[in-house]
Amino acid sequence: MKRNKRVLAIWLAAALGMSALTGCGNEGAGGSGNPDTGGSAGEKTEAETAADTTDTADSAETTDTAADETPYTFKVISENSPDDPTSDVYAIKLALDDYKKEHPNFDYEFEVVKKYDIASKIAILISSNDVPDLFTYEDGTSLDALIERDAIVDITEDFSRIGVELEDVVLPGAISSKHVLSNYEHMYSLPMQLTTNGVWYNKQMFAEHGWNVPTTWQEFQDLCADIKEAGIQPLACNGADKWPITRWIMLYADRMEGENVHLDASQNKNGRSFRDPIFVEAATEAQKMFQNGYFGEGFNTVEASTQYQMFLTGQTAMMYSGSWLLATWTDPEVNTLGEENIGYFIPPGIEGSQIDMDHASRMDDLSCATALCLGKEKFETGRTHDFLRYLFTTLGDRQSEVGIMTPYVTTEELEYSPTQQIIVDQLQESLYPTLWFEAKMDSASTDVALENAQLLAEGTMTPEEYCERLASSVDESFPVE
Amino acid sequence: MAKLGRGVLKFLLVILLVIDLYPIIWLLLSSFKKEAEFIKPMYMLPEGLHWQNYSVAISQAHLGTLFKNTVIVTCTSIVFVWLFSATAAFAVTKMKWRWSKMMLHYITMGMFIPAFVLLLPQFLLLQKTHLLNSLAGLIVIFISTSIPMSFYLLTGFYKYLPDEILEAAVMDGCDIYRCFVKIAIPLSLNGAVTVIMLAFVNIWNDLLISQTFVSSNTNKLLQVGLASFIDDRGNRDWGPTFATICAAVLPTLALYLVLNRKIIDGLSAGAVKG
Amino acid sequence: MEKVLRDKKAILLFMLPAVLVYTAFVFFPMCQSIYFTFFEGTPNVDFEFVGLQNYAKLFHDVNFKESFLTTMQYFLVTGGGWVILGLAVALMLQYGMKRFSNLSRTIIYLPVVIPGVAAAALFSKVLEVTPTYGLVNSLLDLLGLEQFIRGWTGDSSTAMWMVCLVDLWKGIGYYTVIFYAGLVNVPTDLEEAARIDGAGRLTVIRKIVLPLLKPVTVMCVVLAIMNSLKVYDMPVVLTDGGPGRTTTVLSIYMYKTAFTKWQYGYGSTIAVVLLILILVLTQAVMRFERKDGK
Repeated sequence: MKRNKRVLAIWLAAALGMSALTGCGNEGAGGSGNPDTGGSAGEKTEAETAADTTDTADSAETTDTAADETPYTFKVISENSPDDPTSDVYAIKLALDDYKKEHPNFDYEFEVVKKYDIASKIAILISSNDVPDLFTYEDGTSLDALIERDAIVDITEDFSRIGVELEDVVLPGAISSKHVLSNYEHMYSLPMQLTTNGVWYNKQMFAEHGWNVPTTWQEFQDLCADIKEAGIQPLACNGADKWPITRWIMLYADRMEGENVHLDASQNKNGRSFRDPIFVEAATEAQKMFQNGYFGEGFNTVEASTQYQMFLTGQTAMMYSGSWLLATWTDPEVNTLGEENIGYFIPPGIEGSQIDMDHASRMDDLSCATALCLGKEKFETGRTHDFLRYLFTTLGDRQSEVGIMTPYVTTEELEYSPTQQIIVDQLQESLYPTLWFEAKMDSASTDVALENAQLLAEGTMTPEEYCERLASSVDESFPVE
Repeated sequence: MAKLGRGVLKFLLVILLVIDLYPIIWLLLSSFKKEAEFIKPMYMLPEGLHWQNYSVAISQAHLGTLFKNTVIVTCTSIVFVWLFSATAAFAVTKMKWRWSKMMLHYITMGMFIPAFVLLLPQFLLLQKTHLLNSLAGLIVIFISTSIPMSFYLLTGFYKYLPDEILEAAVMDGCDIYRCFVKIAIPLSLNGAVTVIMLAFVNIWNDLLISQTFVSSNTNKLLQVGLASFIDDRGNRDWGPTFATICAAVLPTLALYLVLNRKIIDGLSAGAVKG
Repeated sequence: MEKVLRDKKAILLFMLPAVLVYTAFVFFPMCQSIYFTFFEGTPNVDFEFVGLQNYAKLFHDVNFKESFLTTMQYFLVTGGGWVILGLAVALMLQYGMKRFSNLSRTIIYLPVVIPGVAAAALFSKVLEVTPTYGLVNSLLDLLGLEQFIRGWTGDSSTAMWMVCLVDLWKGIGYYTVIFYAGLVNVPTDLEEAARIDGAGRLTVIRKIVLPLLKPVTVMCVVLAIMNSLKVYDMPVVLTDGGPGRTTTVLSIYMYKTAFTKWQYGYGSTIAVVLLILILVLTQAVMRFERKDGK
C-alpha cells in the first residue's frame, strides 16, 4: 500500500500543532509546527536543491576545500551498534561510508556506549573538551545539563550554517515534538525516529482463543486475566530497563485526568503533585497488574531484546513497546509470527473518568526516540558542515530504505510493510501527544522514579511510599511556594 | 572414628570442587550448543560441537582486535611493572640509605587506594599528555596502579635473600648492578613469576580502567568488548555469547594451568614471609 | 661492601622509574581527588569552591547511608566469608585430602583467574528465570522444588545475596591458597607433641595451629577488607545496582554521582570517605596484630 508522505506530514503537523494550542509544553511551541511548510514537504526536492545552490554556494565552496585539504576524523558515539542493519544508526553509517568514498581525507570513528553509560561518557568528554561531532543522548530534561555547559549546538539558531534550513530536512511534526520536549525556547537536538507507543498483540492467538481487542481499561484487565487463565503470559515487559514499569502508572493516570497530568506533577505545575490521590491510585493499579502475574515472572530481569523475542516467538500474547525496533520485525527468523499477524492498539480509556474513550484512544506518547546531538566545539570549526548537509539531506531516504519511520524529509515514494503501515495509521490518529513519565523530571527525580519502579512492581514498596518519595524529590527541585 | 571424619571431610571437599568446576564446565559445554538447544533445560549436554558459535563470536565481537589490544597492553605492562618494582624493591631492602623505610611505606600505601578514587584526575592528566584513548595511556595507568602490590610482594622476597651471598659477590669484585642482575634476580624467580602472574590477571581481567580511558573501537580491550557484546546480544544469541565468554576466559585459564605450581608456591611464599 | 650498598647513583637509578610513575599517576591524582572534594561542578567548566559542604551533604544523604549499608553487607558476608571459609577449606585440604592437594588447590583457585565480567555474565545465565530457566532454576525444577524458582537477580530480597555469593565463589580460592601455605609451614613436631600428650585433633587446631597462623590470618583479613570495600565489577555486570538500589554499593554510587550526575566534587567526597574507611579498618587490624605479636 502506498501512502503519500505529504499527507502524513500534514497530519503530524496538525496533531502537534494542536498540542501546542492545548498548552502542552508552552515554551517556544508557537514558533514551530507550521502547516504550510509541512504541506510542501514532499515537493521540497527541487526547491531544496535550488536553495542549496543559491544559499550555500559560497559556504559550500569554502567548506568543500577545507574538507578536502586536511584529513578529518568524524567522531560518532551511539547507543546502538552501527554494524547492526536493524539499528537506528545504521543509516548514518551508510551515509558516512558513501561520503568517505567521495572525500578520501574524511574518515570516521564510531563508538558504541551502553545507554546508561552514555551520560558518564559524554560528561568525561566535556571535561576534556573532546565532545564528539555527533552522538545520541536521552531526550528531554537530561539534555539540560549539556545545554547549560554549552556542549551542544543550538539547532534552532545554528543548524542553517551547514548550508540547509532545518525545516527543509526535518518534518514539521518532528520539529514540534522537539520543541515540546525541550525546556528551552530553542531546539538543541535532532530527531532520530518517529515512534509511537502502545500494545502490540498476536492476532492469531487472539483469534484462536476468541479474545477481542479491549475497548475499556476494565476490559483490558479482564482480558489479561483470561489470557493468564489460559496458561499464557499476557504481556512481556522489559522491567530491567525500569521505564516500562512507570509507563503503566502514566497510562492510568493520564486516562483518568488527561495527558498532561504527569508532566505537570513532574514540575509541581498547575497545582499538581505526585501526592495527588490519582497517582497513588495509578501506582496501585500498576502494581496490581504486576502482582497479578500479567507480566510473568522475573520481569525485573527481562531486557528489551528478550521482551521482543518472547512476544515475537509467541510466548506472550501482547507487549507494550515503542515502534523503534520495527526493522527487526521484518526478519522472519526473529519474527516467527509473521508481519500480518501483529496487531496494535492504544491502551483504552477508563469508564467513568473525565477523559472520554475517544480522547483516550488518541493519546500517544509520541517521541522521536533518542536525541541526536551535535558537539558544539567541533561544529564551530566548520570542517564538518559539508558532510552534515550531505547527511541530513539524504537521511530521510536512507532511513526509509532500512525500514525506520523517519522524521526526515524523503524524496522517494514509500512502500510500507504491514507493521509500518500500522504505525503510519496510528500517527495519523494521534491527536493528543504526550511524553513519557520522566520526560519533564529533573535528573534526581528521574532516578527516584525509575529505581523505585522495580520495587513497586515486585511489591516491596507501597504505592503511597512510591508517590511520596517521588513527590519529595520533585519538591526539592521545584519548591512549591 | 577418625576414618569417618576423614571421609566426611573428603566428601565436603568434593562437593566444593564440583561447585567450583561445574559452572565453568557448563560454560564450556554451552558454548557449543546450537540456538535451538537453549530452549531445553540448561543442564543437558550439547548435541554436537557447534563451532559456528565461535566464528560468529570472532567476527561480530571483533575478538581478533580485542585480543591483540589486550595482549599488547597486558604484556607490555607486566614487563615494566616487574622491572620497576624489582629494582625499587631491591634498593629499599638491600641498599642502605636514609629514606628507604619511608619509601617503602610511601609506595606500599598505594595498595590501599581504590582505583575509582583516581579515575577523574587520571583522566584529566592523560588528556593533557595526549595519551587519552590510546593503548600507551592504558599501559601507563596499569603500570602505575600495579606497582604498589608488586613492590610489596617483592620486598617480601628480597628480605629473605641472604646478605652473605651478596657480600661474597662484592668481595669477588661485583658492582651493585651485577649483584642485582646476576644474583638477586635469579634467586627471586619465584617472586618474579608470582608478581607477573598477579599483574597479568589483574590487568587482563580489568574492567573499570579500560572502560573509562579508551573510547574508540580500535583500541578497546577484551573485557570491555565482552561487556558490550553481552549487552547487545546476550539475551538473543546465547551460543556466541558463551563462546565469547570462553574466549575471554581461556588465556588466563591456560596460563594458570601451565604455571599453576609456580604461582601458588610463589603466592604462598610471599604471603607467609611477607 | 658498605660503599657498594650506599651507591647513591645506583639507588637513584633503581628507585626513580617506579617512584616517578607512581607519584605522577597515583599519588598526585589522589591528592587531586581530595582537593576536588572541596569543590563542586565539572572541572574545567564550572568548578566552584564549596568548602566542607560536600561532607555535610554526606550526613544527610539517604542514598549514601543505603549504599554504605549495602557495602557493609558485602563486607561482612563476602569479605568475612572469604577469610572464614577460606581458612576452613584450607584446613579441610590439609587434614582431609593430602594426596590430591595440588589438583584440589588448582581447581579451587580456578574461579579467581576468571575475569569478573565473564563470571558475572556466566552467572546471570545460571540464575536466569525468564524466558527460559537458567541452570539453577532448571535443576530446582528437576528436583521437584518449583516453589523455590524465582528471578534471583531481579528480586530485591535476593539480588544482593546473589552478588555476595557469586563473588564469594569467585574469591575463596585466593584466600584458601594463602592459608594453605601458612598451614604447611606449621612445624609438624609441635602438632605431634600435642597429639602425644593426648590432645584431640580439634584442640590441636584450636590451640596450636591457629595461633601460629596469626600473621597469615592478619594478611588475609587486610586483603579481604581492601577487596571487599572496593567491589565494583560484580554488582555492575550482574545487577547494575538494582533492582531499585539494593545492590548499589559505594563504588557504584560514587561512579554514578561523578560521571552521570556531573557532581564530581561530591563523587570525589564519597571516594575519599571510602578510602578513609579502608585505611582505618586496615590500620586497626594491623595494630591488633602488632599488639600481641612480637
